Amino acid sequence: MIGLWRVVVLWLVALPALAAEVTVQLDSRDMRVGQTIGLRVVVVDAQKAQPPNFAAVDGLQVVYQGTQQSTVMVNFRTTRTLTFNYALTALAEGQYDLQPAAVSVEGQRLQAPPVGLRVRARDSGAATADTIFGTLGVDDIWVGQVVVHRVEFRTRKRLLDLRWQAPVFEGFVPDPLAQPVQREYPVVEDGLSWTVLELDTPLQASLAGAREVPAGVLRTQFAVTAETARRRGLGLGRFAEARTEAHATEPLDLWVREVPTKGRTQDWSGLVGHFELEATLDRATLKLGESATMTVVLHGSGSLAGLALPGVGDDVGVRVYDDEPEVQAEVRSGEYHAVGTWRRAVVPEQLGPLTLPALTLQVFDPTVGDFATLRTEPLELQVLPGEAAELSIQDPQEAALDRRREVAAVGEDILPIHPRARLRSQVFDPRSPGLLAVVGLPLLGLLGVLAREHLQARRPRHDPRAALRRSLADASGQQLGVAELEGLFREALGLALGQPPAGLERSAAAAGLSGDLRARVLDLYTDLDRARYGGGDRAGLQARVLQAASELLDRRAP
Amino acid sequence: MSGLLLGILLASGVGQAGPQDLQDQANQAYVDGDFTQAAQLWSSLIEAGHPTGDLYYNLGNALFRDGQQARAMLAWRRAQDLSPRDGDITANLDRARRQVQDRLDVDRGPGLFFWQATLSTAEQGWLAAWGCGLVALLAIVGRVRRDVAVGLPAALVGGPALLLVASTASALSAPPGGVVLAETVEVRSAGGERSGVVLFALHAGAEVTLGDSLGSWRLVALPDGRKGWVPQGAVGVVDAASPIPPPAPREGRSAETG
Repeated sequence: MIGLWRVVVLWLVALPALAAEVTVQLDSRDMRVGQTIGLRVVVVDAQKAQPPNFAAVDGLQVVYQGTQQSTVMVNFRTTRTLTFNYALTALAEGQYDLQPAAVSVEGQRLQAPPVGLRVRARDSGAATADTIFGTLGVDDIWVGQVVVHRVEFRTRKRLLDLRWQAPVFEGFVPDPLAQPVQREYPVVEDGLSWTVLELDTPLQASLAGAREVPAGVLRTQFAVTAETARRRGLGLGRFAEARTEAHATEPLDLWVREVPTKGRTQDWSGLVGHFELEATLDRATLKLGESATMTVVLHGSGSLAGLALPGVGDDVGVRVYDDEPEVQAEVRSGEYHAVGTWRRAVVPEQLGPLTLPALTLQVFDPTVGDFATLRTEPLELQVLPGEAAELSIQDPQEAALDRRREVAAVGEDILPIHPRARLRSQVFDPRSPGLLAVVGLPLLGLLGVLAREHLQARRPRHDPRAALRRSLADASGQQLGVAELEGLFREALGLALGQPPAGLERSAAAAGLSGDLRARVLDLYTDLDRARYGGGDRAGLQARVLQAASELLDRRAP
Repeated sequence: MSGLLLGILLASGVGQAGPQDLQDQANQAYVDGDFTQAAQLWSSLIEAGHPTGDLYYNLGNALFRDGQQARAMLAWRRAQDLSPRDGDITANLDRARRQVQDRLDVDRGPGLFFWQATLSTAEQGWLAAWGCGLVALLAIVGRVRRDVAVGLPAALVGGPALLLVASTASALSAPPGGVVLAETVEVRSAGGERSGVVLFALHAGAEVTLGDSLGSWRLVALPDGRKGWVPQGAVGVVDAASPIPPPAPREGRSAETG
């Protein structure tokens, strides 16, 4: 089950890779009669395709040799590449354009662009030994022009390693955008197989005058077979040994010319090369407040480093914001090619049709030795008001019924005054009494409550036994009346019995006490009654009451 | 300055009038096109203890019509501090900003206390005070009536109240804004005409943040981080409690220092 899911996921991942593309690749675009090189038709993002045929061309022979497939998955995107290999043999001198027949991919016919090829005469002194030479490809060089210094090395031996010791290119500077390129491909010439190594270095001429490109040295390492193993009797076959050789190019004499002042304007861009310029807009209609993107593409055979594109111009009715330009350069088949792309956000500032004027750029074209002015087409832009643009997508019938119009603004001014202004200060004063009262009074109240609780917690609790003891102690030194004695007696009795003193009857004392104390308390009841009514013996009564009260206090309440 | 204005008003018999009468007179002067008189009356009302958003707004309108655009912007900035929800102030201020020579990004977006764009400092302070007072009352109830649960209401009130306390403290301690009043002022790298160099120039209406003072010089900072010193009189402080800067020197004169 898991395996099935994996298949489904891989199939879904591979689904988007369906935009096929066909290109033609040649090992070299400069051949000699009798040479055979590799030719490939590459179809990218194709599941299945038939090898295309090449129309018969006098002077060339193309033979199909097989098909290779490769699949690469990068970032969950699968790319399948079909490569149809051919052998191309030059039979006659001339300039040719090679173009295969259209390739049928998934029901769609794709046509590769033609590829140029130059075939020169057979080299009469063709050597069978290794050869090396260097060239700049052009005879007339102008200051600022980018040329490609090519070193071509041919050998029939198996190349293991190489190291190129480049000469000092006095009067030239390396191009900051393009890197040197190294290629290696096989060539068959008169039945002999060669390996061709090409080293292309882009250089920009910086000084005028006579120049000499001195010799460069290519150090190569070849494989030399030896039957070492056989000699040692191991019988494991042939082992390789390496041998190092050095090959030097011939010095090149050349003349670099200054760019002429005749025909040069103040707006000369400083570019030297053959260029093409075009500008496009991503939309022709937009609302006021929106922006369109203007894309300017400049490509050609000269360096674009440091180029500042001219502005759109004033009084056009737009504001323009430039993005960072994208400038790239590379060496392809021994030729330098640079592409610059500038993107500009164009924001209209007025309604109606707008015309962005043509961009002009003066360059020096070394192929004709004169200045040329590149010019784009003027770009048209229709700017709609926001609301009008909204109405334009309404139902026409509904729009016809709505007769309302926008209120047209004919002037602009500040808003009117506030005649009924409030007169109470709105400035915040952290020390205002009202603010302090709002916060302070509740806080003071809270502090008061907390203080009261604190004081209550610290105050000693009322102990009636202790108070009565103090009263008994105070009474021992003075003569008390009957009522006071009776009060002390009843309070002590109440504490002893755990009952309120008021209304404490004799029967309660009889029930709650026992023993000698019970008898004495009951006697005191009687004696106190007699003393209250004037009878009985009061002598010793106070002492007996105090004694009994003291004993009653020592007794725990039930 | 306020004393001088009040003196003028007293001499003209206006001083006998109450605040409402002064406001009526200022309104009438504005309607009659006497914007200088209207501005003086509203200034006197404000400095007599009535600094309100409405009065600062009206003062800004009078100054704007009187041709004193930078002082008008200062008045509107003060009005906005006092009445941040008043759309009229924002509209007039935005219109004036479009006429300022220096394009400075003054929209800093919502900060930590996002309500500061909606509530004035006074409103935040009073809300914080009422919240704290209410929490204290709830605490009293909780201590006295142990059977009443006050924990949740106290938390619901106390949390926002504490945030408002912090927000108010932040607003009070923030560096004040400023508006350049001189037509052109050179911003120097050090306070003083003989020290430092001229870094850049600002023009009337440019809105800055004010920093330290050094004698008659004041540190200003731009939204993009650049700083420098300008003469004190070249900038007005966005603080409704501060005195209203005098109209002289008349706008149009330069306050260049170099």
